[in-house]
Amino acid sequence: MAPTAKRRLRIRPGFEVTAWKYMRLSAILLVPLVWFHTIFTTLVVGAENINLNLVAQRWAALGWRVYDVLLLAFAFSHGVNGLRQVLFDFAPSAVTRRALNILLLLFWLLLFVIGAVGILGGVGK
Amino acid sequence: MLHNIVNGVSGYIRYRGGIGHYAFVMHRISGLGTLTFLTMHILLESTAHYAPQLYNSLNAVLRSPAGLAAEIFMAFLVIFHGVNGYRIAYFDLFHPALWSHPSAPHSARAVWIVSFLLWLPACAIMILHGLHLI
Repeated sequence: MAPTAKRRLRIRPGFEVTAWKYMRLSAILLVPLVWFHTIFTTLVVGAENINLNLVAQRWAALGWRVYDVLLLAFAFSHGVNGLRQVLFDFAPSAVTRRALNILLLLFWLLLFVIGAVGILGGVGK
Repeated sequence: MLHNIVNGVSGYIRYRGGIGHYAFVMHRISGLGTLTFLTMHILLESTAHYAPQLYNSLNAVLRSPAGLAAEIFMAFLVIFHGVNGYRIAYFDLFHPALWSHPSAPHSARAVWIVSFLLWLPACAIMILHGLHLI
């Protein structure tokens, strides 16, 4: 083991540290959440059997709606923050990063609201 | 702006970190792929609420052979991102010293092997479903 491995950096807490931790902690939650969702829908039910009636049936149960909203909340925030981290590698300037933060926040909010209203509203007529 | 992008991309290509480097690049590619899929998935599934007739016709497009191939490809990206994500979360949260340990490349190799082993049966079941054999 190299002696440098023992060196400890002092990291100031803040939004970026929280975002870094959030990516790891949400990952632990997302593997069971996403994998159960995809194994159930594509392997157990089968993608070819999915239709509007089945979606209506599932969303009739509160448990499934809560599950789908949790999935949307964790997966999409993890994804958009991941995109933010990738884009930051190409955008070192503070001004560009600020603009990216605002744009990505709006993108996240818009898609999250569209999805959450859809899930909670259930199948339309 | 442009030179930042050129710098970033050439760094991805030129850095010779071996299998750990490929895992890093693949984590980003699979993450971006999954986010693209997820964005379309949110919009498509929410048509069940906003425009149910549209949902049926869009769903029919996904049930084509090209749709099945795309889903099988997506499955690998999601599996790899999850398996490698667990490696990253475990190292970063519990054993950060493991990143500089000589055995770190083995963990990246293990991620590829585990991902393929999980993907192959999923692949088979998805094809059987697609051909209406199960």
